[in-house]
Amino acid sequence: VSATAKEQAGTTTTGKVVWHATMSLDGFIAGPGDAMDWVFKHDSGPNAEVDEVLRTLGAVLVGRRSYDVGQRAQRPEMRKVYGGAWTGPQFVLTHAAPPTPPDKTITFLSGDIRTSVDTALRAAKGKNVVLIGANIARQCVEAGLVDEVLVHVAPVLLGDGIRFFDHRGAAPVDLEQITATQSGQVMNLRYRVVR
Amino acid sequence: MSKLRFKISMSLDGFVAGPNQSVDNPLGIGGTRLHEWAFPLRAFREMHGFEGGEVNESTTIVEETFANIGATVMGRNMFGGHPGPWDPAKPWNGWWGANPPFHHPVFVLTHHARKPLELEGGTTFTFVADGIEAALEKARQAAGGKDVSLGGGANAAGQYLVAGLVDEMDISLVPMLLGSGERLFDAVGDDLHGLELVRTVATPKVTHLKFARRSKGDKS
Repeated sequence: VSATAKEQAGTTTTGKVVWHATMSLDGFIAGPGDAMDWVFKHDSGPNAEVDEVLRTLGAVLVGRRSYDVGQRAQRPEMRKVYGGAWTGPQFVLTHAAPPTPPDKTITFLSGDIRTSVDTALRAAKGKNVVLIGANIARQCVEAGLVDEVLVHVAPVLLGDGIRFFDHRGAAPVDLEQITATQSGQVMNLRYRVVR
Repeated sequence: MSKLRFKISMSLDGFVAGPNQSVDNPLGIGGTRLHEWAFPLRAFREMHGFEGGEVNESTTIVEETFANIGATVMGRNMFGGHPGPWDPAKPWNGWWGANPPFHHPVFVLTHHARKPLELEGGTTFTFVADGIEAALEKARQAAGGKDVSLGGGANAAGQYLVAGLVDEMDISLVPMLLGSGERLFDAVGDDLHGLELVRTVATPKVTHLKFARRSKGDKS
């Protein structure tokens, strides 16, 4: 992944950058109006893949839109990353940071994508960084910064909304499947990004 | 009752063809790679008149999708050529050459009537200008009790899906991101139209997802 963070970390290992998303079968990560209710409707309960993400998670890097959608969630626990099942450093990439972060674990960043990923990797102290949000993930894929993709495919069509990977003019991105499991009607697909 | 069965390869981000589709590059940029998982398979090679090949976890899936098919329906875009009225000066006879790999009657949806086209190996293309249901009915009759394959492309498949006529759908999810191109589920709304996930088969090159119509007694 990020050469800079790896060099500066010296002999200590650097965590992986993991793009984690739940996607509809037709390729959307949010419905019209940033709707996320479908995710909870298709939540099939305990999921070993998610447990593994939480166990290895050191920091999250969140896009501003995903952050705002989270902040607007009705249920208070849903305003937290992973519904409060994980706590740790969160970095929100934005051009317009609110004056004070609502929480001391949240840091607003406005630099370029490589610097932001480096910052998150250092904060993760050898554990992984998870990317949340389509735009930030696309930027990281484009910059060659993503190591793995974990996507939960829900058996639902949303028809419209925020696309998982919307990148006109991009060269095809090859993935290598690591695991594919099924939890109820949800498929958990884990890939390595081929670079 | 004979079923309407649909199979297609799709990128993880929902595309069945890459951008910039053309007569020279019908699957668009990167689109051919959606099908590469199938090329080395003996089951696939036999279908296309070649010998040899691999047997792996995808073999049973491919054999299953080709089994018990008596006819195919497909859209005009899948048959290809050019949009609009047929040009008698430059007859377009499909992508597949003199001996197409179907070996059964194929019904092509079009707005422009055309005489049937009989090719070698048992494939006859019949052009149906009176709608998807008429085409399916003709295909069912021609299939003689066997199932009907819905050949694509995305537009024709979407029309059958929205009409609730698809009984089985096999999506081979390919580990690549195309970012743009022809989406499978464009303008079909937010409904799987009675289909549910019934099987996942994961292989290193591709994950096969099988959807089937809920049986009538099984309401949920």
